[in-house]
Amino acid sequence: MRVELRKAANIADVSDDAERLMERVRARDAVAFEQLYDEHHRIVWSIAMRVLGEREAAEDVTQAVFMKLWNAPERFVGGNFPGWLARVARNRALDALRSRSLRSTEELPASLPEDERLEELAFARLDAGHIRRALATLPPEQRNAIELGFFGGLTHEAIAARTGDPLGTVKTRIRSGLRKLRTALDGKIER
Amino acid sequence: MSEHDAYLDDAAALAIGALSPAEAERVRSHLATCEECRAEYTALAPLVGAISAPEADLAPPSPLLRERIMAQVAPGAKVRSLPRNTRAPAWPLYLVAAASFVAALVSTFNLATTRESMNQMKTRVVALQRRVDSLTHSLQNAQMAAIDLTSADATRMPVHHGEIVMRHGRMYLAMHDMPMPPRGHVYQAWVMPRGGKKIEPSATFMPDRDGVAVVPIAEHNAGSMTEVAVSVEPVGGSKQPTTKPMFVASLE
Repeated sequence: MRVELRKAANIADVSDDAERLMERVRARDAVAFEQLYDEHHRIVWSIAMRVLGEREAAEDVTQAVFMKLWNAPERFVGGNFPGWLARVARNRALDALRSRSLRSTEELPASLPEDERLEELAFARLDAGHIRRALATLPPEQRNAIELGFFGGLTHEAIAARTGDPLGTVKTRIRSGLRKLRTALDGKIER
Repeated sequence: MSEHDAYLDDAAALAIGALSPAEAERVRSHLATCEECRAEYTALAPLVGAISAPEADLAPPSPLLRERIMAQVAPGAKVRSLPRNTRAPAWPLYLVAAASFVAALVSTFNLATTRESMNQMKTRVVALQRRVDSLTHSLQNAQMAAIDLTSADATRMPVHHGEIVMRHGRMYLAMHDMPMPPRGHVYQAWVMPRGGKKIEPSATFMPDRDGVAVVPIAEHNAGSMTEVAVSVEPVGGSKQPTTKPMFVASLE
């Protein structure tokens, strides 16, 4: 077989970052969707497991999140894709808690907005290992407050009630921890 | 702490979803009028992606989850237009995965010489049977592929990283130990029609995490093709090969 090879320069520039992939998902490109799943399902799976604590329920949530991504890709309005995906996953996981009557609506915090563009930060491209090491630099009480709020689905008042700390202390820990995390992650980005 | 400082803390709690609906509404109203608090929220909100970084020891979800999701997506997926005589059967991806599983099973069988590996095989056969039982009538296509791939009367042609399997006019690529293509790329099969002067594009595919891929190339007209090739192409496939094929196999 004689194969006429085109020069690489003629190949369309295929960008595989999440935003480009989402554009292709909007055009019903299943290959792009598959690539998004392979690259990002672990963040959804991680949140679902940490919120719900059992594999079957976490798989249901992961499936629901990715089917939403496929069926309503316009909900992603651009920006920080992992952050947006984390919001969607956390919302679906809390929905699962509600539907299973494990927690009442009154007990649960507000859903995170899914139609808000999140700032595209350089650290979004760091690998999970870098991010875990940055998280590990947080004082335990700050990290605990953040995790109880995000994964535990607790309001700051509920966190205060659970830990026995004053509400103001809990609020300050969440903010200080997040600021410290951002500083730690920004420091890992080559400028 | 001033009321404004309290709002700065509340902006952080809002960023991770740790406010009640009423509190969230109150803080959002404040953000609409306070640039400093809004900037704090904007700076901290994307961190939910970092907080959610998977633990290193987190066990992955079942591979069947991926199959379930792709089975729902594939029927509505964009199908690249191929010449009629080279169009690959539009099977749901889970059926292709099932066929891949059978191919891997056959490969394993050839190597299984110990009782332990036989027991492992039995376990896998049982697992496969459960999956087969749950499939609908379209499974007939996958079963046909499984029969073709394992049949003693199939014609097999070794190629780099696998073999071409032909039986009763049907043709498959049964690949193993394939490395993942570079990011943004897939593998693409090519066929030369008998009497043709130019190769034609066939299916694009990706190996699974074990490096296995079973790709239907022809439903009934394998005899009308004279050569098969596989190359690495950008996602979405190409009209003509843009890289040197990993193999070019003559079928004659």
